[in-house]
Amino acid sequence: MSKLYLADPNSYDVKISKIKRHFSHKVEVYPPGSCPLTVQLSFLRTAAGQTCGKCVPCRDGLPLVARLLQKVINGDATQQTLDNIKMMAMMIRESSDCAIGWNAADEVLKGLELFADEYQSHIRFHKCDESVAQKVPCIALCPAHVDIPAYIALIAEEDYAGCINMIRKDNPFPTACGMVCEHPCEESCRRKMLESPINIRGLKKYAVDQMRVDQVRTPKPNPSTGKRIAIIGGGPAGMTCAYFLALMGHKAVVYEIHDKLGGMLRYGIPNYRFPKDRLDEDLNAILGAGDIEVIYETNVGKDIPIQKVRDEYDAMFVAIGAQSGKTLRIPGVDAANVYSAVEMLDEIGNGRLPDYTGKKVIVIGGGNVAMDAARSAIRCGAAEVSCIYRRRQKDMTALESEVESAIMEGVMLVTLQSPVEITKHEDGSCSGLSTQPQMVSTYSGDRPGTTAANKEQQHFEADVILIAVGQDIVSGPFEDFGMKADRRVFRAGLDTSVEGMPGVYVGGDCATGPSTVIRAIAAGKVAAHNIDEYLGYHHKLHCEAAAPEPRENIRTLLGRTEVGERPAFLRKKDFLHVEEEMTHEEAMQECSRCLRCDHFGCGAMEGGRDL
Amino acid sequence: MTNTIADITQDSEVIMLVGSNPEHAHPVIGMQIRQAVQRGAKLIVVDPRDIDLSRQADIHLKLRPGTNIAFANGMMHIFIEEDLIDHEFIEKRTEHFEEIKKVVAEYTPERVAEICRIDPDKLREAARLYAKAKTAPVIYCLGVTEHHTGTHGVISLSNMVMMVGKFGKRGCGLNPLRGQNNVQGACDMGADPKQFPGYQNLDIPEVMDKFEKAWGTKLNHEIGTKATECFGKMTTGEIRGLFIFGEDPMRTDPNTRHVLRALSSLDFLVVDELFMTETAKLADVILPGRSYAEKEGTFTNTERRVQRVRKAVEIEGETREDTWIFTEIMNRMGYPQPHLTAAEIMDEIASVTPNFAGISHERLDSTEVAGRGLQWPCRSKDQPGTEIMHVGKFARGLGCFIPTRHIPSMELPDEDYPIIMMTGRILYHYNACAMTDKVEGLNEMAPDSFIELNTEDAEKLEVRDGDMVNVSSRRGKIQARAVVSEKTNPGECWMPFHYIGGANWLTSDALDSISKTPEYKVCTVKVEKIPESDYMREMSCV
Amino acid sequence: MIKLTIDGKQFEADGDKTILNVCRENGIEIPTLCYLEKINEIGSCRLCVVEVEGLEKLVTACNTKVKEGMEVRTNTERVRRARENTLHLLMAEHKTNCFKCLKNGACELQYQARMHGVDVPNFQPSHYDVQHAPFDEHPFLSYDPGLCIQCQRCISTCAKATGRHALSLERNAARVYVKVPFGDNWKDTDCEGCGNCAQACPTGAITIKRRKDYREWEIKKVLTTCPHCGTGCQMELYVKNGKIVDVMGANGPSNQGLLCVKGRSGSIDFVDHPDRIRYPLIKNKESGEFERASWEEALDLVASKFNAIKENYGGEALAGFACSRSTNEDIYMLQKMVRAAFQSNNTDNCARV
Repeated sequence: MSKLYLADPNSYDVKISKIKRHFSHKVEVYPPGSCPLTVQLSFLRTAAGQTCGKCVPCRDGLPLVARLLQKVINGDATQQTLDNIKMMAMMIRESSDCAIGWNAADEVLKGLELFADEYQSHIRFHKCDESVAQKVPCIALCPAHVDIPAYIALIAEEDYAGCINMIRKDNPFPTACGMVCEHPCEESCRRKMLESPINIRGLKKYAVDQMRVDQVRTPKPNPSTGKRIAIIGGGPAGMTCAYFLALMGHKAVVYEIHDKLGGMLRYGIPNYRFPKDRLDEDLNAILGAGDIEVIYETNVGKDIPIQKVRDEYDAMFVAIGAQSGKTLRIPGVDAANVYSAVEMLDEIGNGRLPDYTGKKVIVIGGGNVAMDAARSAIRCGAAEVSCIYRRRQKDMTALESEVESAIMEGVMLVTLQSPVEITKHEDGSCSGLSTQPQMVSTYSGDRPGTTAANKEQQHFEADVILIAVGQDIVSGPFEDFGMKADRRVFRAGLDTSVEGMPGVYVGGDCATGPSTVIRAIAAGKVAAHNIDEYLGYHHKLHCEAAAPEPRENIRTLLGRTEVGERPAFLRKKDFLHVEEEMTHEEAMQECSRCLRCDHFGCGAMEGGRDL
Repeated sequence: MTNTIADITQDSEVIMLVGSNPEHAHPVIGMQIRQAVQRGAKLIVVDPRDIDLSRQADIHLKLRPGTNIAFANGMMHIFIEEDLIDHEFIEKRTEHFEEIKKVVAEYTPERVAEICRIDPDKLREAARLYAKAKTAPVIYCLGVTEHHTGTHGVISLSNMVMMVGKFGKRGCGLNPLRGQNNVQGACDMGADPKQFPGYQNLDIPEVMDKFEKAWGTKLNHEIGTKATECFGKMTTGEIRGLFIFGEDPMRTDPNTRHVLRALSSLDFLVVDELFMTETAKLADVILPGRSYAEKEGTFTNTERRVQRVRKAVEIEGETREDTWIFTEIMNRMGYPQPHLTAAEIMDEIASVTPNFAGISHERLDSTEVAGRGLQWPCRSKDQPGTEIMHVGKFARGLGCFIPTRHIPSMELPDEDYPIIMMTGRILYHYNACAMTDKVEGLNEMAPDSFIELNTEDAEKLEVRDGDMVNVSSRRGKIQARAVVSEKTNPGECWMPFHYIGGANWLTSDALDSISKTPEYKVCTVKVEKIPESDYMREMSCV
Repeated sequence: MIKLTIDGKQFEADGDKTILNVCRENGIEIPTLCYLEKINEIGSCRLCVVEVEGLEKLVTACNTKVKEGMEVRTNTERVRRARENTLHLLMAEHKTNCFKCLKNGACELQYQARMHGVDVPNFQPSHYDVQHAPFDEHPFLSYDPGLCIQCQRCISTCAKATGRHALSLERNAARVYVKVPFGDNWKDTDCEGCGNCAQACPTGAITIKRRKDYREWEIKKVLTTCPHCGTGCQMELYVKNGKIVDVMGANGPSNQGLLCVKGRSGSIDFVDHPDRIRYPLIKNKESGEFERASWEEALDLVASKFNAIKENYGGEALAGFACSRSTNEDIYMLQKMVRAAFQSNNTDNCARV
């Protein structure tokens, strides 16, 4: 027959595959505050551009729907236009041959429901909803809205104290966030259009490594207002709230159940990820900011009635965290040597290291706590640590970098295994874990679920089992006090207020379920401002740093500098910090990648910065 | 054809095309062969020229023109040598196998390769591919018959097919693609010097008796002369009066000069024609007949299928149905022949021709036939016709192996005429162009005659693609545009035969010893470049 | 055989058949535009969509095989709505200047739109701005992209039925067109000019130029056999006012609906061509010129001359050759004339030349 040829290395397909990541990056960095209709239209146009041209619905229908959608955006549409979009999209979804057509139409139909208000806004008022306004991505996506471009620019000017102050304007935990923040700010970093996001956390760490936070003076507090606010819980949410209240001139009284402050930062995150002496730097600075009193080792609701606390103070902020470990409901959980991972980490946080020398340890779960427990177990001398998880590795909720580090340190991942029973020795101690192999199945939410696979049960031997399947909130006493909770998670408004209890605020993990440090900090910040407002003030906080003039953008493609780690074979033997310091050169290069969206683009406009 | 077009193109594993360029000569069959190849059928092309289908062929044996018998014998040699033969078929259904075995033993692949100028390994591969296929038709055309050994060429192919038992089966058989729309019918209807309709030999007394009774007259018992041999008898005065019905030998027959001399020596020439052809110009009387669209009747296609032709229009003037003309002449010459409709004539044909006994216009138009025609033999009104011939038994009983040997063509290249010339059809015209050259679009598509020269030869002759050349043979000299390519082998060239002043002024009138078919496929010529200045001068004279 | 339900009725069918096959065999009408059996079953027009119980989407009847226990609904509100919307889309992209169109009355899109009550498209076109002017340099065929519905029947016909692959798909970004060999470079293409693509075209996009001479409702169709080669293709002559105006391939056993360039375009012009001989002619011996004669004169002359030769030299001195392109009936009568009236067996045909 005819001659055959190998794929042409210079074909369009090859060229497109080289550049198409730029397209997905562009989609990933869709700026916060975009009009959802423009997002839908660009998805639709993408799909229409992908048609092979064979079938009528996709070939002729998608451009038509795109045109109608454009009409909505142009403000030329009526309800009839929406009905036509819906009718045509339904036809396309139902009668398309391949996924290009039906998927695109399905997205249109879902969007019609999801963004119904925005459609109406365009049809009735020929404009976007008020909430639609482009923002600087990193600032908008940081829950505490820290002015990131400003502090990166300060680092570039080697003004580390200015940097710390700039951060502290919104977040009194620069060190904690430099070490362990999950950095949602990086997600839509515009630098990703070129290659990858700025290493924002890494730069913050560089700043606090250069200049200890407690060496930088906090802004001068207001004169005393005479108001007293009770803060229940000395974790990141509580201490943030205390910090800002103190700066406003209020007296903050913190009730802490432990003998030290920090909450999960101290008792949940192991030292190798966040050394305790570095935590103390943040806390020392906070405690030095103004009139903050800490009452240690006091369990509000047990040692003192809640009502009494409420009565004694002008306002109250509940930030008790999610401190107790959830357990599994399988036979054998009562065996000796079966612990909650949270308990185990708490013990370590209190300086009591368990001895796992020569033991086989199983960690059940796939979140950050599971990784912390597993990596700690290795450091406690365990001979073998396995992490058993019901879903696939990519479905784990732990940060990818945490999973990667755990594997490097020797943790064995056993995925798609669902715990069935903990087996025991005659003496009642655990001997191992039986599991039912799983297979991946249909989606529920963002992740695919699993069902039992047609395979035999397996058994894994274990001397110690650590359960890391979630944390619980000790909400009982507060519910008795009158606060409403859904499955032990307190109900709170977006302003952290508690409905029907003026002066009572709630925030952090106890109001969201176990979450990140930065969300807890944001809650503390919001609560402080709203308590101030509640007490009848409009205190403004002074920031002693200002954003330097921007330098010219460097548009040459430049790789992202990662924070180095000590080699796994060394670090797994101790609890010392695993991360290394960035060098000056690295930090300066990384700073130079920042595109200064606060200055170039929407950030220069009124309301464009979301500060 | 022993089989039908549908079964050889839809049910075949391997298709062997010998001396056939169906894409041009039988385009709709060509399309169906292309479909078959696309479906996955393997294709063996045996042709001296790169026909379009050879590009898709698994094997192309580009043999020397006039060496078909050597090729077929070579195939059979390999069948026997490698035991690819169908022992049971040979045993039960054929005779004289031992005789052919002896003859083909001489045709080793190496010897055949030398005669045919092909690669012996390719011949072996073709033999295996064809013989081992469950279904494999041999399709052939004028590349086999238009040689002085044409009949033996057909016999040798028939031997080849029998040896591997590929007769009487779907998707097999030996399938000549008959050229013109009713050339099959013309043979079936007894336009033949020694056979009445339905191949009934007139030297068999019972047959002669039957026709004399049926037609109510005494008939001449002497076997007649074949058309191609009549021309000789015209020049000698043995034939003095000729009636030509719709033929244009001045264009279609070889050695035009000779034909011209023959027709000019006649006492009286009558031509029944649609157009003033080269032949009509020589007539004493021209009678205006009718075209296919102006009369009722039937055509029989290459697969023996009798199908209806229907009257669609009448044109201005005094044209008459041709059967009316013949009937009038018969009556005026003293034979009382009543005027009959076409349907009545078909009934008379059925009554004297056993193979057509079941065929009538009424039946062809019926819902029973449903527009599919009837394939003869169809011996009674309740027979459905015969799709595949020789199923279970050959028409003559046992299949007869007739050994044949390679004999070189009558004219071989020499110093004076060093190039072998073949002739053939192109897609856009039909035969003498009488019908197709009336279509402006077709003339635009294929405006003029050309000669395909091999690149090597062209270089030697200093002829470039598109140059005008003189082509001459022992019989004449013409001009044509050169088309230079690798389609023909060095030393070989090819010309279409449709055009006025075309290839048949050159072709040889050497005839096949049995069928009297001319050797259109091989003659020798000399090609010379016309210096541009001469050509321009000539053109300006015109 | 499997059992299935269509529109509530039970049917038995061969499991190898499509929903469309089974429906059509049982008289259930399903509209199609792009479908050509065994040639184009790509399901591009989506007009044949039906509901199948248990399947979320509508499926195309033309290329979905029936299955045991299948429940098919061919005429629900949902199905009708999808078909109507499909037609609206097609009509929006199609130049609907039907009065000017050569296929007016024979256009399948026009028919389906009428059957579905889609007279004016609901939408504006998306693609008009990128449309090319018609390609019509080819002697017989032309293509107007503005009338093309991209069903690809022409492309598949050229590829699968004729095996020529002279038509292909051409893209202009997200829009597809048919790349036709009818532009100014038509001579340099593989196209044979057979026009089977035009016969396959459901609209007026690819047309035989001859169509300008007639409208579908003006013609009478005569089924006959092609006058050129021995394949025996069946074809319909389109006759208007006593003239042949077009030829269409008919589904004969040897041609399966196909025709070649000669059959389609070389079977008309010669019939009533000005060069036809329309009167008997006798050559004037003196001048060498032919002169018009009456049939009586001509036939008497022929009979007397032949009779004279027969009497003087015997029947063997006469011969009659038949034409391999005339009918069986003609040839039979010719050889009968030679044998019975000429008293000669010198009769033959042009089989060998």
